[in-house]
Amino acid sequence: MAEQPSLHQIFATALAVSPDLISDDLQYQGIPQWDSVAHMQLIAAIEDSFDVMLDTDDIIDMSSVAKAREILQKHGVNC
Amino acid sequence: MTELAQRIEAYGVVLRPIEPADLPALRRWRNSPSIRTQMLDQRRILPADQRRWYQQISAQPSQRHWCVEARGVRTGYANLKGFEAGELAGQAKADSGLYLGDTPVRHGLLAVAVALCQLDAAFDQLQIDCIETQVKADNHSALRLNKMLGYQSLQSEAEFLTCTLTAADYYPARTQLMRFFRHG
Repeated sequence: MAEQPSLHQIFATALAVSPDLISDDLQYQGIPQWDSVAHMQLIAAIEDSFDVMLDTDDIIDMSSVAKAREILQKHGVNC
Repeated sequence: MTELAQRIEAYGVVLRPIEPADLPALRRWRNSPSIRTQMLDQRRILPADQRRWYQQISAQPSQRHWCVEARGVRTGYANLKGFEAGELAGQAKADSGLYLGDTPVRHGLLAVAVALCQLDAAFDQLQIDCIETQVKADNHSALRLNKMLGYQSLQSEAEFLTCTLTAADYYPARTQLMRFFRHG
């Protein structure tokens, strides 16, 4: 089985930025690359990588990397 | 003026007619550098200009101007403006515009939610054939969002691109975007 990518790796890939730019403190629109379209691409990548289905409130509340981690924990994903 | 598409509530946002109490916030956002510099008319809007504009649009059946609310908070502006005088419903072409203010309720789905409301009104309720909008060529976020909504970028005039959207292109795009609007 392929190793699960880290949350930071998923963010870096979905936002098309260097992993160095990703930290738990990074917030929506904190960098130009995290815009509304990238947010949807990010959600799709997270759902595919962790095999979860997020509801709209989760998607709206995912306002930072730390918040994404918190929401995924709610779905039983430790990342 | 018909009652069609005066107030729209969908995708977790409300588009409602602008009230006088909305004007200061709308003017503040419209004059902020991040929004003003993306507009065709980049002049600062003065209170007297805005009062005249508000009087004009209040009597314009060919236009809809909405204040956007999310989670009960005023958070942006959207419009549809017919190319012809007379009632907006049934027009061949209309211009679309929107901007979001810097508010605590701003989130990753807000822009697409507002755009979906606006375009549902245009195609489902008002039966407009084609929506057109001008986007600054370096406004990559807006261009990417428009592409996701099905807009076609047509031509470049100076620093702006003309983007057009028909219902035939919008409906498949909307179907793809619906996956983000579901409730557990």
